[in-house]
This record gives sequence, structure tokens and C-alpha cells, in this order.
Amino acid sequence: MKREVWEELVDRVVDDECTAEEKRALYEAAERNPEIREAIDAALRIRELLRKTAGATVPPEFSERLRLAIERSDVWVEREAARPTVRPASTGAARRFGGRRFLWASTGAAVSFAAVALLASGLVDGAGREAVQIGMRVDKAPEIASTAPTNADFDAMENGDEAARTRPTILRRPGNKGEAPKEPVVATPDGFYTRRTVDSENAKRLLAEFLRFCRENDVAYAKIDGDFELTLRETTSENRRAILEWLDANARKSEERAETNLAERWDEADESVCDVRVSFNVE
Amino acid sequence: MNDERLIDATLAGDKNAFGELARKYQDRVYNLALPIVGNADDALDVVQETFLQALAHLESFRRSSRFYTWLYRIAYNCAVGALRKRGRTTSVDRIVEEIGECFESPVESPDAKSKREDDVQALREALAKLPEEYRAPIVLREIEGANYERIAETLEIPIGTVRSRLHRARNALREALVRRRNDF
Repeated sequence: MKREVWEELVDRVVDDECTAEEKRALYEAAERNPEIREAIDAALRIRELLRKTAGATVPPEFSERLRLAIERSDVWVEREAARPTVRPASTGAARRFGGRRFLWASTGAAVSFAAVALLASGLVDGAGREAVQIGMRVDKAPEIASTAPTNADFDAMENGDEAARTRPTILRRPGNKGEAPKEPVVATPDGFYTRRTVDSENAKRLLAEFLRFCRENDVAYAKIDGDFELTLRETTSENRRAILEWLDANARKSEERAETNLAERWDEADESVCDVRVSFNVE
Repeated sequence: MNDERLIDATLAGDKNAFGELARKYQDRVYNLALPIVGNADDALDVVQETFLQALAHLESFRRSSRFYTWLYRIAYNCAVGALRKRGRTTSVDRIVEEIGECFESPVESPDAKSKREDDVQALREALAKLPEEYRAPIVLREIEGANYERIAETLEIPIGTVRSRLHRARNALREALVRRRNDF
């Protein structure tokens, strides 16, 4: 058997990619030619060594990193969005409320509470400006005795009605120039939104910082279409407070009251049932 | 739970199900990626990217093949992509060092262990020095146990090319072992 023939055949025999006849022929040749025998042994030895070196395991902390990456994948939200019956009504509702509007939702007859979206004046009407809106929803909110605001309430607030502004559960920044929603306020069984707006330069920085912040605080986030939605599922009260503190430090001072108030309510509630969603809308 | 059920559960929105698949295969993907990219950090990135890609494209997984067969193709592409992105700037020494750090030594006699370590070290060095086009087939064949057809499909090269590259890779590895023994 010529060298080029047996050399090629050794590989196929070792890899079990040959016929029975070829295998038999090679081993018969190997009995007569020590070079062939050595080539076969070397190929098997290399395999043995390579397989011995294939026992690496990922570091213990990597499993958790991978788990979080999987949990935070956009895919879950995209799949959820593709299933109309699964997608939360408030998410769609939030998207319908664009620009500087508020989205209000309450938990229904037994559970209702209020929140106010505070928008910085003059940030979205400048030419070439871009906005980031951060919405926050509490899915299973604690019971709070309050009256959900109506469109008329929003209108009243926009018109500077002090009575509407000072209602106990409506925390409103004096002088807010935001608009009341044109559409009817959408009531959902799982919470409410508030929004913030920053100018274009701050938008990207805020978004990047917020994403990093959420990663550092073990908070899942996802992306839907062009919007960023950060889902703070079952996160701890401490994390939620940290997030709100971060928002307070990086977004409008005016939101502080509303968000702090919200944080206090979370603290009062069973933290395991809170499910917060934060949305970034880059326009 | 078997892979099929975990996939079904994942597609139904169960994050834990895909997490279980990831835990099941993460070490195998790591062992595939490590010799290709040559360092632990990049290999871990490849593992993560592999599972995120798999998750994103899970709907396209046709159940005619096993899940891992499909997964390792993704892993290979991610690994090669990472290697190309890095521009192959990693030194051979670093590859050898990092690969070596990741492997655990099995329990064996001191003499046998010493000899095996010599051979393994020689093999690691030779593997690190192999050009990518030879390294990938030998890793897929010897570590993954892929047959020629699967290697050809994964690397998108003809089966004849798989054979020739495997042959050259083995020759290079064999020569490395011979040189190491001659040095002693």
C-alpha cells in the first residue's frame, strides 16, 4: 500500500469514515508496516489527549451571568408581543400615549392609586431635539385609598387648578407644562405610568447609564421595537429604591416626590408581588 | 425534562426552561469555544452569545436534528466570529496559558500525570499554533465527535477539504508530540 494511500486511509479509519473492507486492509497493512501502525496509534493518542483536555468547566459565577443574560434577552418581550393575548394591555397603552402625555391606569374598583407624569418644559419642542421618556408601571400595586384622576383632572391640572394639583394621591410638580392625554385615560388592572423627558444629549447618556445601572442592580431589561422597556420583575425593595434614587439623581428633580412616594408604598407592600416596568421611548 | 420539552416550554415563554438548557450545555459549548478562541474570557463571551443567539432563533430550529447539533453550529460561528473580530492578535503563549488554566487534571499516578501533562502541554501549544482552518475541524472532530458531514456542514466546506484539513492538523499535532519527546 502506497504511503499517500495509507496516510489518507488512517484518518478515515480512525474517524470511522471508511468501509469495513478499507479498515481490514489498513490493519493488515499495519501488521507489515510499522509506520502505518505508528500513524494509527498517534492519531488515537491525539484524540485521547484532546478529549482529556476537553474537561473544562465554566466558572461557577458564569452560570448566574448566563442566566441573567437569558432573562434579560429582548426575545421574551418580543415573543410576548407577538402573542396578543399575553401582552399586557398597559404596555400597548403606554405606546399609544406618545410625546408629553400622561398615561394613567388604576387597579380597578378595589385597588386604585394615582401617579402623575412630569415633563420638563421646553425640551421636546425645540428643533432637532430628541426625547427619552421613562415610564414606570407597578403591576400589582398595594391597595391605596384614592381616587383615580380623570381626563378632567388632568385638564384641571394643566390649567393650574390648585385643588386638582393638591389631591392627596396626585403628586404634581407646580408649573408643569405637560399636556393631558387626548385619548381617554386607559385603566388597566395592573398599575400606572409616569414619564420623564430629557433633551437629546442627555437622552443617550441617561439611557446608557440606566441600562448599566440596571445590570449592576440585577434588574432585567428588554427592548421592544424601538422602545426600551426595563422590566423590574420581583426585584427587591432595596433595588427599587436604588433605581428611584438613581432616577432622582439623573432625571428631573420634580419627579422626586412622586417617585419617592411610590417607593414608600412599595416598602409598605409585600415586595414580592411588585412588578415594575420602566420604558424608554426615544423619539 | 428532555430537550424537546424544554424547547417547547421556552417557546411558550418559560425563561427557566431555556436556563436549564443553557446549564446543560454550557460546558460543552465552552469546550468547543475555548480551543478556537484561545482564552477563557472570550470563550465565556462566546458561550453567552451562543445561547442568546439560540434563544433568538429557537423558532427556526427544525427538530430533525438534535438540539446540540444545532447549538454547536451556532457556537462555532460565534467562536470564529469572535476570533476574527479580535483580529487574531492573541499570542500563542497566552492561548496556551489560558487554555491550560481552564482544564482540570484528573486523578492519576504522579508519573503518568507528568507524562500526560507533557503531552497535553505539547498538544496545547501545537493546537494554539494551528491556523484557524485546521484548528476548527480538529476541535469539531476530536472534542465534539462530529463526523465529516457535520464538520463540512458546520464549516461550509467540502468533505474533501475536511479530510485534508484533518490530516494536516493531525500531522502538525503528531509532530509536536514527537518533538516534545525528542527534547527529553
